[in-house]
Amino acid sequence: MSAPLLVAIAATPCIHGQQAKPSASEGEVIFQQQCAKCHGDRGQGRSALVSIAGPNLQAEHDTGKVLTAIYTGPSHMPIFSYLLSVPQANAVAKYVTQSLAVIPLTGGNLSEGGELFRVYCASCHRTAVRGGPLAFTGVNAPQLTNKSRALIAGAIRWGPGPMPKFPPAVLSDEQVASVADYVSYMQHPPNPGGRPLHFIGPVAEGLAAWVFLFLVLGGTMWIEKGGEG
Amino acid sequence: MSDKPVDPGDARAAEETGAKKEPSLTRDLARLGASLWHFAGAMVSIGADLLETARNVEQKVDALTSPLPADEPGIDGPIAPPAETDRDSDRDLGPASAPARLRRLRWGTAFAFSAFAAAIVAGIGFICFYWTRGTNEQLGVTLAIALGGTGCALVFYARWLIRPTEAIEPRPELSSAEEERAAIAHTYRSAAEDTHRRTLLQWMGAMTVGVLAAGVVSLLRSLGSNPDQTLYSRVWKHGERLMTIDSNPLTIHSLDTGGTAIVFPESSVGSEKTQTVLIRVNPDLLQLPSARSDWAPLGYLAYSRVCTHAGCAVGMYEAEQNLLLCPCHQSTFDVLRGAVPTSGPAARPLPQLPLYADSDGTLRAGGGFSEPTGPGFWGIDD
Amino acid sequence: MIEAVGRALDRRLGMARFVREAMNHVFPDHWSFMIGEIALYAFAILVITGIYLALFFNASDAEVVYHGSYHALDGLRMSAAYESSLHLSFGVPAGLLIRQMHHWAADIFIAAIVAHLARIFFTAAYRRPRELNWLIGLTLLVLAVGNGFFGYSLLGDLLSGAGLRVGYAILLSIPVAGPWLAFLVFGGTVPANGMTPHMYAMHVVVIPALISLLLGIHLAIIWRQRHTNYPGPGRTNRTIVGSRLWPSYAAKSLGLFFLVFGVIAMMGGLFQIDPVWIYGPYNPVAIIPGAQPDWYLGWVEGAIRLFPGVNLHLGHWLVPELFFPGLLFPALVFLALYLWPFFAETLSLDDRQHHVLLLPWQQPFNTAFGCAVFMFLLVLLVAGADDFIAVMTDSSVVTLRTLLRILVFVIPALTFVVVYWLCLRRRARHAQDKVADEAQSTVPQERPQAGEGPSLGFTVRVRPD
Repeated sequence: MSAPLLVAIAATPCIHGQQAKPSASEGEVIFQQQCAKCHGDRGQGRSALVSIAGPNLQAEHDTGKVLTAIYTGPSHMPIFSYLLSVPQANAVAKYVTQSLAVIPLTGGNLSEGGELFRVYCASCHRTAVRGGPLAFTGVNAPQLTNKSRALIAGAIRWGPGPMPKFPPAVLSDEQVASVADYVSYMQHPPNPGGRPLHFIGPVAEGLAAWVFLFLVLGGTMWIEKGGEG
Repeated sequence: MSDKPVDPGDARAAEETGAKKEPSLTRDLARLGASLWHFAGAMVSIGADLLETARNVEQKVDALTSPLPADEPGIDGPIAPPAETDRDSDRDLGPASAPARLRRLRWGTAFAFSAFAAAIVAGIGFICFYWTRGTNEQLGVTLAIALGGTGCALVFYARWLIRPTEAIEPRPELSSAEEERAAIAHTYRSAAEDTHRRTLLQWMGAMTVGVLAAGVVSLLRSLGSNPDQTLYSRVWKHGERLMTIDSNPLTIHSLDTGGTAIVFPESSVGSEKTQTVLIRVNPDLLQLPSARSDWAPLGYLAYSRVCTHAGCAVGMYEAEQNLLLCPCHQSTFDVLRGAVPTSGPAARPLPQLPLYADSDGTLRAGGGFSEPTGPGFWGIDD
Repeated sequence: MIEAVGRALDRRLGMARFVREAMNHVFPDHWSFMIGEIALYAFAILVITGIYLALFFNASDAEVVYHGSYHALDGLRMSAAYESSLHLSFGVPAGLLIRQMHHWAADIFIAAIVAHLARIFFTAAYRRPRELNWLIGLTLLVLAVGNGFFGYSLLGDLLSGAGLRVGYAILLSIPVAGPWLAFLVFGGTVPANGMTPHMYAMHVVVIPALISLLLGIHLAIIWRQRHTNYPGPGRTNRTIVGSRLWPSYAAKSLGLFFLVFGVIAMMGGLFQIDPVWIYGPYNPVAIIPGAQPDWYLGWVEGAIRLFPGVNLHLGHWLVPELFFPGLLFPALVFLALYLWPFFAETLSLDDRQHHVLLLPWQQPFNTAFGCAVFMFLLVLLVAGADDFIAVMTDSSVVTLRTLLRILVFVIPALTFVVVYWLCLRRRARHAQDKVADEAQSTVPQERPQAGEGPSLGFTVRVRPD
């Protein structure tokens, strides 16, 4: 869905805005009213082939992150700070992290996560999590360098856009946590060898080799300056 | 005293016998001594003769094998430059004036000195970083400066400190003269002079070489095995359960529509050849050939995960378009129509696995793959 | 002191005359004549760094569990070969530097050979009597490419494992003998146990020995025949002009060696190459996109991607689609290269000895054809990276591929026409200048005075317009 449409939906005046003491069910009500349109009624995420309305929230255990999203509107999420009072926002955050977040992000093992990533995910996202090509109209697997562990875990279960979903029968909750750990690690991997050339691989390395060969050829021009052959 | 008459022969004998009047020890000893002396003298003279001969032989041998004389005196002394060299006719390309030459030398020396200095400092830096376990960048840059500095110093020397000359030399004749060719042909043919039945021996030699070569080739054969039935294998047996890589069986409730999993037969979980992709699609969209109409219970489809193009794992499933995509060369396969290739370089569809669900809902194979898996080869249609 | 050593040696070898004649050997001075030396020195660096690596590498397919210092792979099963490459990268001091230098040197080695081949081709240096060296040089290129492929496949990581699988499929696709050859070379279906020790023996012993032998013959032939000259004063088919080996050329050449070594050390230190710990150990169930081979096989990869999925059914038998771009096409390219000097000789009806080079514009067909072939291979190289281009430009790989299928024919044809026209134009201009020269000067061309430096035998004047 496009951003203007989202803003229009979210601009619907909030009827329940003046209560003195918000409660968890209050959070649920607001969520179902304001957020479920994009994020799904269970926070399971909603998307079409080419675009994503709202990501899966079922791994979000951090109220701070939820509040930040509500107040700053990342990506094409509108800013809700004009529509929700602080207690209301807190209620929504509490609801999300306590009732909707059913994917625990604990028990992950970094190396097992790497192994699973390479089997299931690397074919689209590449081992360096910098995204990869799909054979379709302008859609490519995105890079994961700026996604939180919660978003990654949610996406695994949800399967946004062209991505398939991985149910518990295929990847258990611990395995999902492992994969999220691995992706998070790969966002800033140690590069003991020097500049990683954007993790492109042999293509970039070949290009670099030719650039340096031309550098050396410049050296030969210096060595044999004035030589007429 | 005897009374017999004595004849003249006898007389001598009689003299002798008469002379030997009585056996005397002294006389015997004297005679023995004389004999021994003569014997010794003879031995010595034989010995002397032998020595003489040996010395003669040794001298002859010496004369034949004596080492060459030592180097002439003064050979290690200072060597004076020759009057003429082959380089006299080389053309001087350097600057003509003496101040220009001096300037060139000065600059050259300065450059070479700086280059060496940089190389030395960097080299010491490299050794320090090595022993203190420096980073790759530190090691690499110091080594680069050390080596590059040496190179630069050599180039400064070559371009600034050597008098630049241009030499012109005649090129060698690359075709030998006729006489040379005749001589070498003659020399070569001398190998064939003294053999009878030459042709027969040549044939024998050729056959020997052939047999030896066959022997070498046979040795190489043990590098690999015969292509065997694994190439043609259909991998699955009827009734085998579909297992995930963690060895959990899958049931009809395992996947939602649009879900996918990697499965293996029970007998070989994790193997490259047996890997299979399980997909659940909306059964109303299926367009399988009629012979396979019962291969997909509840919309569950299974295809070999080994690409028929070059053998990569077909790792990507695009749920919205029901396409399997191989990441190596971007071949796409339409899962609704039996994984026929729709774009990209693959030409053969992915082999399909017939599925059925048993009484507890566990998914099982209904037989082997429809074709041998993996990339194509000569006899695959057999 | 060196003189004392020399004397001691001379007393035992008596080679003063031979060494002196060697020192007087003339080498023409031009930077484009040093490209082959870059390749030679890159090979020397490969041997030096390779010996160091061979002392630490464990060429075994046995499965081990990793418990080393890189914790993102801790506890995983991997081949012993992969584990030893991790140990080299993280455990051995300067091991990563030497490993990266070795890989960069390999890329530079083959790049230099290709550049050297281009120089030889575009200056027609392959003409008699140098056809033999052309053949030897091409064989060196094939050996170098093969050794490079084996080299990075030894490590047992996911990227090179994917490449090995494609190599296996290519062998398999050969008609009639395919399955036999594939099983012979790989020891079974990929991944097969025992593959790594085989590749190791080839990469460390067999191919370097062959390269060294052929390289020695290559250099000996150059020594014997003397190097060619560019056209210029004093440069004829019977003379050679240049600087002497000692001290001038030896110093320049040795300086080049150290410069090449320094550049490779800088690359090894500053730029990460083939980070096997990120790719992970080879797992036959895993795969990555963009599993390209190293650049020198990228043109084959591009051909494989662009070639349409067309099977050839010969009755009962199948020639798979991979055979044509994967094996037949590269074989034809190399066959054409091998036969080129003989083809050019027939085409030009010229089998005399040549020791003076032709400038590119003096041989329009040769140059235009060479440029066209070069552009063809370049487009294929780009096609080999089409998935990255699709991601970087946010476009579809399918449309990109269709575009490339058109370009792979259009661009070479265009290049041929343009380059041919440019060469003819240059040749015409040179003829005009020569006529103008002869009209103006009354004295035949003299040797320039000392200090001016040599010049080309024909002047290029800026025409006043």
